[in-house]
Amino acid sequence: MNTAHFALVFAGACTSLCIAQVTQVSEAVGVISGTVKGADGSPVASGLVSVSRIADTAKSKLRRISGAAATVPNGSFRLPSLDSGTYRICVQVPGTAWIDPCEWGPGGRTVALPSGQALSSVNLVLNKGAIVTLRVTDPRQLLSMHEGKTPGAHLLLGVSTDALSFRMASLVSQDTGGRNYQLLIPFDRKVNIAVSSAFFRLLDTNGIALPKSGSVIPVIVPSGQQAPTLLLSVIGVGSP
Amino acid sequence: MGCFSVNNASVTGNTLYDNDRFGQGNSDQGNGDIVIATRFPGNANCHPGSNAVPCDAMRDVQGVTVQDNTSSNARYGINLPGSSDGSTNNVGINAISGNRLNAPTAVVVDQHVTVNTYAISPVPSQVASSEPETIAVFPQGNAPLGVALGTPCTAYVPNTAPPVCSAYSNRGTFQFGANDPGGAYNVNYIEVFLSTGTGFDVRGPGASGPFVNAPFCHLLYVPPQQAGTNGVIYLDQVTQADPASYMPNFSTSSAIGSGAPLSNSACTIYAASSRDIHYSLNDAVLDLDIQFAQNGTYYMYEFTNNNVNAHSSGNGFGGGFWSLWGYWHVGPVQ
Repeated sequence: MNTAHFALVFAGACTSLCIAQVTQVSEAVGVISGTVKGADGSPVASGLVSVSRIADTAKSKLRRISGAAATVPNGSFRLPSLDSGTYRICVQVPGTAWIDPCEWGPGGRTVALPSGQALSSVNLVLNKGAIVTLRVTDPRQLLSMHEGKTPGAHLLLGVSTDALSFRMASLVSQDTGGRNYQLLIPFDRKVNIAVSSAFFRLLDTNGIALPKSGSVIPVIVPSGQQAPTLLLSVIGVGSP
Repeated sequence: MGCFSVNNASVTGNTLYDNDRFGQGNSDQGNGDIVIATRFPGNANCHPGSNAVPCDAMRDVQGVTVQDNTSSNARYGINLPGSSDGSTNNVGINAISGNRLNAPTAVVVDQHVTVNTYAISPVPSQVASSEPETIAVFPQGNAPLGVALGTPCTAYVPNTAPPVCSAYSNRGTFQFGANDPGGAYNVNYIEVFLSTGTGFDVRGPGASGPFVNAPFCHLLYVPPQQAGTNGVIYLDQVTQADPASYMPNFSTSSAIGSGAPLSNSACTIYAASSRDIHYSLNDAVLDLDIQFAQNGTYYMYEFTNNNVNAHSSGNGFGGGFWSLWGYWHVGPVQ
C-alpha cells in the first residue's frame, strides 16, 4: 500500500462509526460484528473478514491489533477480543468474483472501536469483479514436462494489486492442448497482467514472441461485460 | 510466563495481570498469560538470547502441572501455541485445573499441537482459521518489530572491550515463513519487501509499509511444484517508484539451490546458496542468502497466499495485508 493510499484511510476513519451501533459490553476488550453482503443484496457466505488496527495519532498500549473471522451462511461475522482503536476491515471470498475492497480501491472501510465496547451492525457491501481467463496453449505439453522437474522452469502470470501484493493467476483446468488460468480484477479500470518466464518461450494473442524479460498485458473490462479470454502460447523452452 | 520444552514442571499460585506479551516492543497479540509450548529442536543451539549453547533434547513438553493461578486482562489465560522452529509440538499435561482465568478465552490450543486435552480443565478452545498467514521465524532472520536482527559486524572500534561494532554487514541469510492451517504444502507463494522507506506511523518508522518511494528489494517465491524439485525465486527489477504508478517487474528468476544470482540495483539474491523451503506441519520456511547494495535500514514485510487463493491478512504492523516482522541494518553504526 502506498503512502497516498494511507492518507485516504486516515481521513475516512470516523465516517463509518456514524452508521454502526455502539454498546457497552462486560469484556475489557471490544467486539466488531456485522454482516457482509454483495451489492445485489445477497449474503456473502464463506468470506474471511479480517481487521487490522491502523496507526493512531498518539502512542497507546496496543492489545490485539488484528484478527480474522469467517462469515456464516447469512453473511454475519463477529470479531471478539479487540482493543479500542481504529480498524480497517477487509473481506476476501476466495474462489468467487467478490472483490476485496482492501485489495482494489481506496483501502476498505475503517471503523473506530471505543474501549470495551461492541461495535455491531458493521454492514459491509462487496462489489463483483471481472474474472479474466488466460488460455495458455501448450500442444507439446512443455509446461507439464518441465514445471517441477527442470530447475527454474516456471510461468508467472499475475497482477499487482492496489495493496502492493502480487496475485498470481489460479490454475483452474488443464487439457492436452494447454491450461486455463483465471484472475479476478475490478471493472472499469486498466489492469496490467504480468507474464514472465525465464524458461518458457511464449507468443502473445497476436502471435508475437514475448521477450524473455517478461511482458504486461493491459486489460480493461467495462462494468457488466464479460471479460475477454487472453491467449498465450508456449512454443519452446530455453535455459533458466 | 512461559514453560518451553520443560519436563515435570509446576506452575502454581501465581497472580498474573496483562502478562501476555513477547519480545521487546511487540504488542499483545494474545500470547497468553501462561504459555506452554515446545521450543528449540534438538541437535542445535538453545536460545533465546545471544548466549546460545548446544543442546540435544527431544524438545517435548512433558509432565506439566498448572494449578491455583489467577490470570486477568489477557486474551487467553493459558495458551498452548504451535511452534514453528522445528520442535515437536508434543505436549503432555499432568493437570491444568483449579485456575481462575478471567480471560475471554480461558485455555486455547493451537491446532498444530498434540496434547492430552482430557487433563485440561476447562476444555480448551482450538485456534483454527482457514487463511494462511506469514510467521515470524525464530531465532534467525525475523524478529519482533523494533528489535534489530542479529546483524553481524564487519568492523570493530579498536581497543574496545567488549568489541563495539562500527559497521553492520550487508549480507545475511534471512528466513521467511508462512503458515497454512490446512498444511504447509498449501502455501502457494511468499512475497517479500525489504524496504528502506518509512512513514509517519507512531508505532515505528517502518509501520504501515511497505513504502516504495525509497530503495527496496522485492521478491516473490514459488515453492516446488513437486517434491524433490526446486522452488523458484523472482526478483522485482523495480527498486524505487512513484507509489501511484508502481508496477513490479518480475522479469528475472532463478531456481533455489542451483540457479544463478539475481540482482538489481538494491540487492542480490544468491539462489544457489539459499535453502529451499522446508516444511513442518503447517509451517513453511525459506532461507534466502541476500546481499544489499546500499546502506540503510531494511524493514521486512511478508505476504502469502495458499492453494485456494486465500491470502494472509497481516500482523497489524504492516500496511494492508502486509506483516512487518523486523528490520536489518546495513552500514555504519549510527
